Amino acid sequence: MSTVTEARAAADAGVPFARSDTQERHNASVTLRHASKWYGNVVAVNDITFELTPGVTGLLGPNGAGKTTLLHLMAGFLKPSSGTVEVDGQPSWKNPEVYRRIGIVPEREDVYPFLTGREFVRMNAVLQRLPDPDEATERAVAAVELTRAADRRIGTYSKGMRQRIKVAGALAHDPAILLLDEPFNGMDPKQRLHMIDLLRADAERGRVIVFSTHILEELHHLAEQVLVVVSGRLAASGDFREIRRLMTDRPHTFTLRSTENRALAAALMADESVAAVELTDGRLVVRAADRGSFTVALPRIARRAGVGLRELIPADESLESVFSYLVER
Amino acid sequence: MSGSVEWTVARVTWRLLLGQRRWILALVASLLPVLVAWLFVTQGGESNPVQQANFFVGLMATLVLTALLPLAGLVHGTAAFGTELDDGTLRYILAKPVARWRLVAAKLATAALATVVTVLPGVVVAAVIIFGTPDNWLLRGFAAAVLVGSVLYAAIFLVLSLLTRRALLIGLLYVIAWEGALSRAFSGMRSLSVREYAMAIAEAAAGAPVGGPLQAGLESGTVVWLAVGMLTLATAGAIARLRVLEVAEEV
Amino acid sequence: MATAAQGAAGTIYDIGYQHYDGPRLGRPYAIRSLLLHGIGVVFGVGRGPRARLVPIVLTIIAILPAVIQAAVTAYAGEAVQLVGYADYFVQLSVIYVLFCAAQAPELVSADQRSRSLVLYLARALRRDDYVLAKLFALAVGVFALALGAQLVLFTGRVLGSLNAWEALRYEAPQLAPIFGVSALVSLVLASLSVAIASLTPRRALATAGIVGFFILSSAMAGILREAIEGAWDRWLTLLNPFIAVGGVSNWIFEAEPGPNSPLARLDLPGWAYAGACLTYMALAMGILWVRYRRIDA
Repeated sequence: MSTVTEARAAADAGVPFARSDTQERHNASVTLRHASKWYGNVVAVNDITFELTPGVTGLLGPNGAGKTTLLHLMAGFLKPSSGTVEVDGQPSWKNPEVYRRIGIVPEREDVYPFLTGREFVRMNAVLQRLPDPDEATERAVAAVELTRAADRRIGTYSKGMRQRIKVAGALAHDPAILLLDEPFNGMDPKQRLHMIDLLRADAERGRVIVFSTHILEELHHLAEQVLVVVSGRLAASGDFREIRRLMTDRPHTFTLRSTENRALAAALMADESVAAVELTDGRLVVRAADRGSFTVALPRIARRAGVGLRELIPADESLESVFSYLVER
Repeated sequence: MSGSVEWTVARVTWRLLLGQRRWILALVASLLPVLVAWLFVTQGGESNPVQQANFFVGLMATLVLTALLPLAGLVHGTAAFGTELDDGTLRYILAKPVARWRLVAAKLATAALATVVTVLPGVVVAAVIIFGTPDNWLLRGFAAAVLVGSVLYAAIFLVLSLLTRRALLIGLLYVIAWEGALSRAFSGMRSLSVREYAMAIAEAAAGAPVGGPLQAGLESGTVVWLAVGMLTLATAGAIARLRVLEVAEEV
Repeated sequence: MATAAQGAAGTIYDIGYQHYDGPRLGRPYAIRSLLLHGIGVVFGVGRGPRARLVPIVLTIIAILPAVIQAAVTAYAGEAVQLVGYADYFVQLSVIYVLFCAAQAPELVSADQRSRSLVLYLARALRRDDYVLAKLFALAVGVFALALGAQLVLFTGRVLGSLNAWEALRYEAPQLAPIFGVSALVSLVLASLSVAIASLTPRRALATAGIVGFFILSSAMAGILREAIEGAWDRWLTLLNPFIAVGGVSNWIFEAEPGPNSPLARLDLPGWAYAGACLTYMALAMGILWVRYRRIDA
């Protein structure tokens, strides 16, 4: 009980409360090998292979791309139609023991509305067969900053609070792997930032964290690795900047400002690494056919033309362009 | 410590089944036999023990055993898993390192208990009103039937709710058919004595989940084995089904 | 068409949205629309074939006995009476209950589940309008079933007899009672069904509730009728709504209940049955009023 009081005191003081006996989690892994899931004629997940590592991995894709199905496969909620889905070398399907290592935050809003936040998290803790469910409950509730609201019924919670209590429930047993389906839904910016910090800190401690989202900004700020899923297929995986770089057949766009835009434009047009040039608003928008050679050629061209470069902004490094590009393929 | 898993599941399920004003409906249902008994006693005039017994058996046979009990078992049995399946909250229970049989056991026990609580108190009070005392062999017999029936109906409808999304509707068709068949059977038996009633019930119930162990001997023996068999089958089925239950995506 | 600011903080563009200040169709039209939509829901119109399955099948089953009886009358005249005008509903009570039990939740529970009530009330509709529109939608559905069956019986009698014109004049006075009883049946059943269904957003549970109510009430009425010898027993049978309806039916048609009918041996005055029917409707309206007062829009 004293740990519970300590946890509450820490929460009141606004200080994060860490367990002293943090487990080593370097062994945690989630591996998919040629995993597919189909329902009759509809293929939701199509031959996906990857291995999740400690840290934060973002799952990106349009609605209906199969992100939730993928998460459910990892979570052992669905049986793979073919291929394997393994957690720590064990299949996730039909294997309740695997849930000691996994925490799941589903997307659906409905959470036992008649339970209080604390009761819900405690239920999770008890079902995880933890030796001290009360301490775990307090710790988890404090981690999501819901200590004061924890005694209200979940039915009275706002959408963002419900999301957070779900996360608390998933964190109660301090799992090595955390799966979150659209976790930032309904959170206001402050809550979102807090959640991002929480997940980043967890990732640094060795947790494997996977989360799906539509909001590209979260991936930008949080995800080290990105898995892009389109129509059930893995369209891209890895560091998102690397993914972008790999796609050299798409023209890259740059925005330039120089001392003499028009002269530079004329000079650039002559070079074969340049596909198109547009003069707008005191800026030069250049579409480069080949990013590599353009970046080498640009300073050379500018110097030969006697134009000074003031600003060079690569225009579409963002996930947005990667994503929409992949979708269009 | 291991007991608290079942206890926690049971507590949440109990609140699911009878919380938030659902207990009001259970209360109203349980008062129906009481109402009927009260009307019999206040409006029927003086009655001899045979008439009382006849009436009580008739009450049990037509209202309780064929309508109230199966309906209560249906509603609670399907709701034990069904509510969470519909709401998409079952995944919180499933994604835990708990053996599936323990989940089934906890929910089944809760559903059965909820059914008993819905039906039995009304029956006991009705008996007291009619006979003046709860010490009555008929009451004991029928109370046993209610207990056994509650467990069996809860088990059957529990496994049904894991097999199909339309468990409640299918179960309802069963109750309608069962009630229809029996009401036809009993409409011609107005003038029979208690013994005939009891025998008729036992006969009819031999083919049905509810056994009325009123007659000593082979009849009740077979019924007991049948009941045990059905319970085992239903429970095993539920456990097996829960193991391979796929959690679908959101609606 | 669009005008934009020149580097200003922000502008609202005029893209041609029209503001409407003219006459609106108003509340009566809204009620009418909701009613028509409700009738469509009751018969599964405008939805997939699965939504049509149950109501169509039940409609067929509800009218089939009348068709059979009509055919029988054509061959055997009035000698063989399987079903008649007066006792039709009591005999077929199960079908009517199933119809209501299947469709009332679609009308009322589904809106609660999807939380659409807000959307309805954000229009010219008031809560009472919503409730009454839903109730009458189901009532119209049941009325169609009831009337359809009765008219088939009527047609059978007319066409099946030797002299059609004679028969028509003979049977014609029955038309008013036919309409009256059909309307009564539909109102009693619909109001009770919608009231029960309004208590829960879960459709299957509402169906179970409606079926359960009719099963339990008929069981109670049955026991009491069998067992009680005093003066009150006959009144207690009114606990079964179908007895009440059947009684009024007999009263209006001035028919005698058949020997197998649950109405046999009951000698209650016609107004007793009518009173019971009105009580049921009042009870149902009461439940609906309380339920929809308190529900969150």
